[in-house]
Amino acid sequence: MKISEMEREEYVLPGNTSCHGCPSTVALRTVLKALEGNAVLVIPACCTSVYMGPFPNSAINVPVFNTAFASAAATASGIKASLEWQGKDTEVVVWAGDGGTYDIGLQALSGAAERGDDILFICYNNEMYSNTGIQRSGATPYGAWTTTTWKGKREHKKDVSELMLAHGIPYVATASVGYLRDLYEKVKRARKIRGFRYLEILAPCPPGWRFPMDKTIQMGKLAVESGMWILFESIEGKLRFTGVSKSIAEGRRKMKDLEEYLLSQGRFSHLTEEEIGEIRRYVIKKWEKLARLVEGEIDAAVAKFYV
Amino acid sequence: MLISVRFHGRGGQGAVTASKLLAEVANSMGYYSQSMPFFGAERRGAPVISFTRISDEPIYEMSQVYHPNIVVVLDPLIMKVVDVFAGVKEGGTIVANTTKTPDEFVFSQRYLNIIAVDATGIAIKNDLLVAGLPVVNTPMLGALLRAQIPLEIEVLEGIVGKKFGEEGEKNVKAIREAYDLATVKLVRGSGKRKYPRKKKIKVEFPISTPSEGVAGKTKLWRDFRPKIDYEKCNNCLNCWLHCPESAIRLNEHVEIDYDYCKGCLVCTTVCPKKAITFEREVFADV
Repeated sequence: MKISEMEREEYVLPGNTSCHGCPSTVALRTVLKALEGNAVLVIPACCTSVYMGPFPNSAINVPVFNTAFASAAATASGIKASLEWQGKDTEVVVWAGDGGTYDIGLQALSGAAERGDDILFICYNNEMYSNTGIQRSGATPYGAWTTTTWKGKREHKKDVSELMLAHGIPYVATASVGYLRDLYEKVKRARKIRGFRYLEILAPCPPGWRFPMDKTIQMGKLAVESGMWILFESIEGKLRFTGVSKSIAEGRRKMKDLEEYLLSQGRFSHLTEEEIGEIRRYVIKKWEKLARLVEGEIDAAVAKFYV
Repeated sequence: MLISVRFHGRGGQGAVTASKLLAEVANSMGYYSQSMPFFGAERRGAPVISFTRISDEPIYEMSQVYHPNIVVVLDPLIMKVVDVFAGVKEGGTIVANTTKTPDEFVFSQRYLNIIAVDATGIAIKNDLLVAGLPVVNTPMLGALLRAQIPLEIEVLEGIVGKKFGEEGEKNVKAIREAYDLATVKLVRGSGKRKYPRKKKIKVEFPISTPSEGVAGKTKLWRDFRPKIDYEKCNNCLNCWLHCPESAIRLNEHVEIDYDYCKGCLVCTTVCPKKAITFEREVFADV
């Protein structure tokens, strides 16, 4: 998809209250462009519900329903049922942060996925509760500093995209703010599929991750290039790697060193060699696991992935 | 026709079962009906409320019954704790399990039909005991059918007989007995019913309208001012795609909206031609 062929209408209006270099606005812009504005957003408590501005104005140019943290997917199910009854083919999109997906919103998400409600659940994952001032979440990776993990988190993150694969829903994909065209195409593909669809976007947050505000896109790219974030797409149970992750998996491209990604962020700057080794082991394990799920197409040998 | 019934009782007396049975009787006679209990902290002896609605049209009301036509009081002493007359419509019916006569009831409506029956006595007589407590729900239903309600006692007897198995026969007997023994009387009340004046509250659903600049002109957030060198620019639109602020406009070529640009400089890093540079922002007018 060429950039010039993309939807030109703006759905996230300028002058909102997001931080400098916010990954959420840029991802939401792209998602709404891909949906051509034919969407109802359901937003649980997260940065988006703040930067869209106070009543009586809204910085988002589509209908938005602000709902409680735990109930985003359930609310979307209800809105979709109503729209279906009215005969409208409008996409109901849940736009939740990782708190509203990994932690507090998990039961509603799992319930809606199990019921197979026709909604698109998008998690923009910045791996922490940024809105409330950087606390750890279930998505925070091992070793990362937050205000509630001063010396680095001692646990690995859980992986909700794999959990959604296990739900057997028709569409699961991951994307990164670093690759907006890839994101645009994934939303377009998801739009054509009926049923519960889950899309997770890595959103590098400059204030939370402690890196310069102009590096948002670079950080999103670096996360994929270093293998820390894996781009994949599963349509009707058929899993495949996409974009740079595909090149890495097929051996056409070498992974960048993990340290380059980790040490460019303030939240990882305290890591010791051992801790970096622990993250490296986790990343390799994840690649192996996913490669096994992508049957036949690629060789799951570990050595091929790493420099 | 919409008949709404409220049951007052204590946990264990069968108020919830009674309301369900009544709905079932109505349903099997071709009416629409619904039944719902009001749950508090469930325990034996606690005041319990349950509701039934009966109609010849589909019922869309799903709330509690606030203005019942009929109130069934399963426990003689509950009137001291709960105002069982609250909200009862004029000319409505109170079915009370009591040893008193209908004339002894005091209420603020002008007229109410009082059906008095000693259901506890009937229950004891017919050995309707659960854990030593007389269960009065079925005889109370028998007495209820003396009210102006288009349900037939034979149908109730049939359903109860089938439902309760071995206990069915005793219950059917108690129902018939209560139906026969109940005294019905139109009683005059004080008529000093107070109607609280309704306050008019204007409710507006809070809907926001999309608009630019919900945080004002965000140019004031800017420390650095990006600048496009149009000689180098090949209009690849990368800066437009990646702008987090939607502050790059598409006209003939890309243009930065300096009213809203926050100066995050993402555009300078994504430009493949390095056509966007930046400088310190100095506002002349601020």
